[in-house]
Amino acid sequence: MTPASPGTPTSQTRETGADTGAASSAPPSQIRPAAIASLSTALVFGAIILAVVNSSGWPAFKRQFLSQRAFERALPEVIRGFGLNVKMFLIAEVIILVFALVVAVVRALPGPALLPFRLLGTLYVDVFRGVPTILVIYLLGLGVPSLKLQGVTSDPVFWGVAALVLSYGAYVAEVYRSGIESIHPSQRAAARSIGLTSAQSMRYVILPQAIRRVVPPLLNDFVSLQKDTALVSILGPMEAMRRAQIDAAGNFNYTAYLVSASCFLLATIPLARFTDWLMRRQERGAGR
Amino acid sequence: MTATTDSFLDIRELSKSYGDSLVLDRINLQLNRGAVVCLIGSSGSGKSTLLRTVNRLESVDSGMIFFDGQEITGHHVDENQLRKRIAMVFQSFNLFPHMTVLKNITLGPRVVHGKPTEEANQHALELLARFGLEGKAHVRPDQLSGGQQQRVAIVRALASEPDLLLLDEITSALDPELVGEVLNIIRELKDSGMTILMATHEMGFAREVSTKICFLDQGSILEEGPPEQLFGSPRQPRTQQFLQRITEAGRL
Repeated sequence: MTPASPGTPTSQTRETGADTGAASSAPPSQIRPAAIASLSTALVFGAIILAVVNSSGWPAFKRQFLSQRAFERALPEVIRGFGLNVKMFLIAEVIILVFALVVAVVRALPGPALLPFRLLGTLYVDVFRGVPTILVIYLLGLGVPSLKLQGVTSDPVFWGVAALVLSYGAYVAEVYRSGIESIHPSQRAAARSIGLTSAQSMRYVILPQAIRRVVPPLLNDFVSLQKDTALVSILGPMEAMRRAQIDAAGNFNYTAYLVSASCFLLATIPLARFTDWLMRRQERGAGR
Repeated sequence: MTATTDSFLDIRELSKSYGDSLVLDRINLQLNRGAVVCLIGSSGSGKSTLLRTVNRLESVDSGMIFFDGQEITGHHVDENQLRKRIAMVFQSFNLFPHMTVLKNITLGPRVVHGKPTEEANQHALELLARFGLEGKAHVRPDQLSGGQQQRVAIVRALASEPDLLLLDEITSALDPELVGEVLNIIRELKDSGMTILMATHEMGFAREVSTKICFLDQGSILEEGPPEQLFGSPRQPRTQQFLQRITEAGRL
């Protein structure tokens, strides 16, 4: 924690420094805020932990959610299941990146002949941004196989990924579109003035700049996608969440859920930190 | 439609409005090959819009534009071929920030005209050298001064070897001490026989290089003539008023 108003504490430390006549090696202005920050952190977290541990339900909670035996039993199963989450995430991510770009570009291209495609794009984005992801997964994963169409798979992983692609594609298309619209119209005018067609202007001038701008918000959506692969568990494939569910139901112990949660955390936190870092770097670049 | 005109660029009765406001009001303007015509007038008088209609960046409501004998406002016109012959430079440079100077210049020749990269690069490097920009081929636009950026933008416009150059207040966004280097290029282009239609606030420069000055006011050409006449003895009260304000501001 850095102090919000550095003026006051600095002037105070300078006074104390002058009183004692100390000329320590570390700048005194940094020692006091750091000490206050650690003290306050220790106090707040200590209070929360004490309150939880002293609650009347704590012993039962400890048995149900923090059992070492259950942890050791569930860990290999859940990790094995998490492999499927990662696989679904990676496949969905690649498809979404391409599919959403197509949707965004179609919506951004001018010309009266493309109006039906623009309408279709708008309709798609409106529908799939409005319907909860879990419902899309249900409708596709249970609905389509129940039609018993010739040659159409009923694989729950396939339909789960398809639902994630449709749901997240709508969001990511909007992110791309905001990037495209953030490019100043003069860039398009310049591109057109040297003879590029609308499509060529998009490809060579608008998109390369737009995509660079939207990388951080895109990564943010993918942090979210990574954890939402757990929603596919409602169709039954043996991913991390499903395996935790089975373990929990068979042993009347919920520790497996915590194991599953930890897996997701270990995957999403690095991605989230990377996104933050990228955003900060881009802000610095913009100020150049 | 074929032309019954000898002018290289012939604008006839051109009108355009945005909603209720008329931005171009029956404009008539003729340019011969090698002519340098300056459009002057206050902001919002229609100078930029007029230039943009010639490059088909703006549509028109009525009237016609003949370029080298061909009518160019109709739907049948291949505007990408047209823009190979009519190039435009903008007030705010509009270089592509994600590309090097060389890529900025060669994008049109490579992508639109299908020139081999090697040949396009060669031509671009020659143009850069001609305009004192040697050594800048591989830097990004944001590493250049405003004057250098605008010179690169001019080189980019020249890369397709156009016959007509449209310049839209190309020195207005520059620091005063950088204006000279850009105007020098225009002088050189004029001397090499380029046909130029430009909107400008540099009255001294307009007076020096122009074959004709057009004073635009509220979307129409209120007065036109050779620079000595228009600056020396303007006939219209509005022109006199405009020039007086410019003189008071120390720009003439």
